Amino acid sequence: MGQNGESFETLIEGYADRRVNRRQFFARAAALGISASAAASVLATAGPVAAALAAPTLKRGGTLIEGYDRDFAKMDTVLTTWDDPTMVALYEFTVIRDAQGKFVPDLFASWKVSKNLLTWTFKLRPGLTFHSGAPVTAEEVAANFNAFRNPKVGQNAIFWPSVKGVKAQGPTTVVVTMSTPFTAFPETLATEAAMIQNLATRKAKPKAYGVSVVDGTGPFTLTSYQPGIKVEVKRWDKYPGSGVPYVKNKKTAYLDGVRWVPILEVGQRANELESGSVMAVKNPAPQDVDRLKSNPDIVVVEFPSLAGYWISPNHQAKNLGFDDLRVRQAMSHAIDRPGLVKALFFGHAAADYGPIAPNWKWYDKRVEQYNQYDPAKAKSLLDAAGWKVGSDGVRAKNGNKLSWTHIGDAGQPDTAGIDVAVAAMLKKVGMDMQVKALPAAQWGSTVTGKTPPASWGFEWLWSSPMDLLVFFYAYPSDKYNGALPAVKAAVKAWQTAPSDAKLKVAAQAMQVAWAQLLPKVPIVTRNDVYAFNKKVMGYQPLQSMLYPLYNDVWINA
Amino acid sequence: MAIPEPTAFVDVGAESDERPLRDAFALLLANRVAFLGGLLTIAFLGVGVLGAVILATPGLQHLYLDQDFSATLAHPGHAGHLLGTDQYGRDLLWRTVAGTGISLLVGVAATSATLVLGLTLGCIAGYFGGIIDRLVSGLIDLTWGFPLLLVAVIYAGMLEPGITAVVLAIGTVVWAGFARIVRAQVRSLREREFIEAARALGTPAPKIILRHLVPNVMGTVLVMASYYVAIAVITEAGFSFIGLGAQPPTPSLGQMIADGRNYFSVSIWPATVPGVMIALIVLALNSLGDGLRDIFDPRLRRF
Amino acid sequence: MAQFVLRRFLYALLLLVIASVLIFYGLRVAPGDIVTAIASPTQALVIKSTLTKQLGLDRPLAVQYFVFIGHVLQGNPGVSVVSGAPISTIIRESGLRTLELGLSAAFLTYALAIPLGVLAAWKRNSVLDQGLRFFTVLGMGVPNFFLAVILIQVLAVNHHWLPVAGPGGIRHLILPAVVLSVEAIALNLRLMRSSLLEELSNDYIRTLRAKGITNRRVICVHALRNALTPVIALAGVILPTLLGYTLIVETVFRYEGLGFQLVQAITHRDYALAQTLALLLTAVVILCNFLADVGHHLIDPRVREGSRG
Repeated sequence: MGQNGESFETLIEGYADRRVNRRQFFARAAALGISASAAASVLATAGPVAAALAAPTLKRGGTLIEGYDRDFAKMDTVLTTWDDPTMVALYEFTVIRDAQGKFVPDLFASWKVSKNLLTWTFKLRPGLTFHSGAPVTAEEVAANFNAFRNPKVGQNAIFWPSVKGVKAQGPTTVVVTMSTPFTAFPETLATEAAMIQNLATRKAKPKAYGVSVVDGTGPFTLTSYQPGIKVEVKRWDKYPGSGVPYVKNKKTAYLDGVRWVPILEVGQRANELESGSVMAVKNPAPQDVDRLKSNPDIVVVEFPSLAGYWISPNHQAKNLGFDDLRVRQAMSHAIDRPGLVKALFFGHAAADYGPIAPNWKWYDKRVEQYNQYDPAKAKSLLDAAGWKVGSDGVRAKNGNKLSWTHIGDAGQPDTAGIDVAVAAMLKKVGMDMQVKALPAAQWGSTVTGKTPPASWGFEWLWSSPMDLLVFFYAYPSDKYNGALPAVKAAVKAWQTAPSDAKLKVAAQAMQVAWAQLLPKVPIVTRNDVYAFNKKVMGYQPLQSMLYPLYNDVWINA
Repeated sequence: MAIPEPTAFVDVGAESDERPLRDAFALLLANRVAFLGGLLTIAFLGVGVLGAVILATPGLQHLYLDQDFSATLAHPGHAGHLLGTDQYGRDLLWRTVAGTGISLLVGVAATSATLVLGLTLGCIAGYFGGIIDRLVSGLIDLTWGFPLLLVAVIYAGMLEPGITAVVLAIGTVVWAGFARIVRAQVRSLREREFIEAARALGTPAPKIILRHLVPNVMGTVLVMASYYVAIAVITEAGFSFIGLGAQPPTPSLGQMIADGRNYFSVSIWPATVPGVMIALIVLALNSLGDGLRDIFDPRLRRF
Repeated sequence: MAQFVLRRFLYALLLLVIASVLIFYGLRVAPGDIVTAIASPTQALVIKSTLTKQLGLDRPLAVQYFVFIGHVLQGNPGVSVVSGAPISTIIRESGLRTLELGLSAAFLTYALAIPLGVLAAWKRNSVLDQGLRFFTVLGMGVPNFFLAVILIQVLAVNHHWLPVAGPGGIRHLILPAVVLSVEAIALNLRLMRSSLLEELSNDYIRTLRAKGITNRRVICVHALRNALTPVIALAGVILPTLLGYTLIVETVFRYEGLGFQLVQAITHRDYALAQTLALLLTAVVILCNFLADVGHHLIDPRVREGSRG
């Protein structure tokens, strides 16, 4: 008990009601004998809770203006390879993750798996419609699944390898049959790439679909999409309500609409939030996070992200020795990950020694025995591989200089600095990586071009990190990544695991194989930071999800 | 990108005075602002050449590329960094020097193209007159008055983002304004006795142009050259600022400002140092140009 | 006179045709392609070919050019290939904003530059004159984007007096308009001052003064009218240049005008939109230059004899 008879619970309540500010909270928590880290972990969840608890009277109306740290991709779930916040406003998942990462109902009210693990039966919520008014039938959902898994049509068919057939049984039952057990199936379903859309509309308007026309089931409808400038959605007045257990608002959205603006100048996000140009931002610049946390008008929620940055060396570039594990390991050992976390991200990031960040439920600590910062080891590995330092400090072997052009993505301004910093670190061990940042449009065609670059850098973001590895072990091509048998075996094990326990084993095998063999070199994962004005209520980001669900959000103006 | 100076469109009083350059230098000394501008310009040239050498010498690139994670966003004077460091702990002084090198290279490349094109076409049109003059004047009218940035952005769309687009844009657009001035001057020079005499003696046209006309417009060349370098510097910086110009890690001054402003709340130096540098360069070149104009253009010197 | 106008008009038309060809071909041979851009960065190759067909990108370039020009001439430039939004809507909405910004900047420019220029000439070499001279030197030296950075930091971030960026009401217009106009103010102020001083040194002014007419009347009634000629002539140059500046200023302030749209369209390789916007801005510039030429011709007969043969 504290001096005024205060308990930790009353203190949290005080914080939630905003009688106690953040600094006071820590001071009083310390007085109660609670460690700062324990207090902080409570706060991480108390922040959004506070927003909900402090709600005096709920108000409808208003437009939420939110700054986004990226540009917007096409909003077509069959073709998407990118998750934007617009998706959760326009579409709905069949199955969704809750705060703990457990799978709970969304469009599917329930499901069960047969004893032999080969038949999945899903029950659709009845009475659902698309924005256009067309009914959402089991038939339609099955057609969506079949589009996703068809490699000629769906961009993400690679995630559906074990699915043998999808069929509708009556109006609300979808039956999926597998060729092998596929316990990770809900992982795939709970991503933006498996959200349900009206295929008839998509077929009728092939050019406009996903850009000016969207026909989903989400609480908002699309009004405007201008890449680099904005995306606007407005409330769908015929929304039948959400089936997600933890969404409190079971009716139409409180907000009139949401307007997202890409703010690609990282330092401007905090500025725009504080000056009121926007009401919420995803990922203010790391150097501004602490400042925002001390601003009493701003709520900040931060947790490690389901993302990562890697540098992808072309294993076909034999003249650079990238097919030689020692060269890739040297590259990895030359990178001072903790230094990057501290200098470029002001501590708001995690060093990645394996392909997935340490926060993930099945993270395997064994990856940390690889890829530690060790320039001396990097040099000796290169020496052993036959790369000798030349007069200009750049290594060479058989007349080939260890010098190449690295393609960075200028469309990812938050992580663009990593390439520059890594290049300077590699230079110290005699590797001459020349960074060339290309605009997003050009980056894609260069990386998938006929002569792919010697290396490229990229930040990925996906709510199912293992699926992401499944995708990227073969992107841009299997040969580019060395076609490593151990990695392939891990992918196979993941996609045929008969139980959660086996999933975990496969996931960990994958991480260790990746850390050891380096098909791509993992670098860092920056934290997800959501900052919003305290007038924005019900804005609840979850660590297991990339974006908050906008149906609960309202503005206390 | 700067708005062309009044001289660029008010037809310069075409009187040519054959005052020797020595007198000009004396006058420059007498004009305080212009003198200061001249000194600063010399300093800019010195720093720019140093920067260009550093950029071109692999063994020296470490000066602006070396990062030090223990001294990021340091204030001036910290740990031997005279002007502080950026977010990578790279030395701002050396980066600014290298950035000035880029500015100078762009300035020289773009201005040379402008002057050569403008002088050649302006002299030809002014001297020959007739159909040639009509053709060249038509070309001038076609190109003149285009906003540099618009042209540069279109070029950036055609090529990859980079400083080439800026240089090309300046080369495409700015020459016309210069050719227009040269043409007007040459037209009035043509009627002067010494040219008529040369023509009467049967001197070939190229020789007359090179021997008699070009030296007489050198004053204008000097004046406009200083303005054009300023225009090039500021256009490149603005273009790099919106991300279409020089790409990292090449330290363009404009891109340094764009990068540095993200850290304003931590340290003002990474954006301010290159910003002040650009302002100084442009001020220096403008003052020098003004001073030179006062000397070479008596009509405007009265004010 | 009519012949002059007609000739300038034909020039303008010719220039527009040349520009349209250059813009079209230039943006089509550009590296990076729209198909990858809209299909998102990691799109597989399989799906690209269908998109290519949908967008008509498999037809010969010359055909695509005439299709493009045909649509533009019909006033129906089609839709943005990236966003699917009708280009005419984008132009209408953004065009209005750019017009608003441009007019505000022009208003600021002349409302400040002319009176201050007159004042500087009138009180020549006074403290005021010196101060204004200092301002003009700075205004022409400090790059506008750096000025924008500083103003945003001081007025918006530190003091919250004005919004940092984004579209909105008049408060969102202030900073962009100021940043856009500073250099033009400096330039016009200086020109106004020197032009008025030149006018005041003329014989007829001396005569007027000898007749006992007050200084104020001499300046405001007699000298000012003539002294304005070069300022008006400069407008023809300034308007297109301001239009060029909007590319930077609108981008810095996320002001949703034509300049910002063009920069984004170029970055996103949105052919149809970039071509149309670039062509539109080019046409505006050509029109400005044409009007300036004609206007100049009307105001100042000397130009007629002097520079054109």
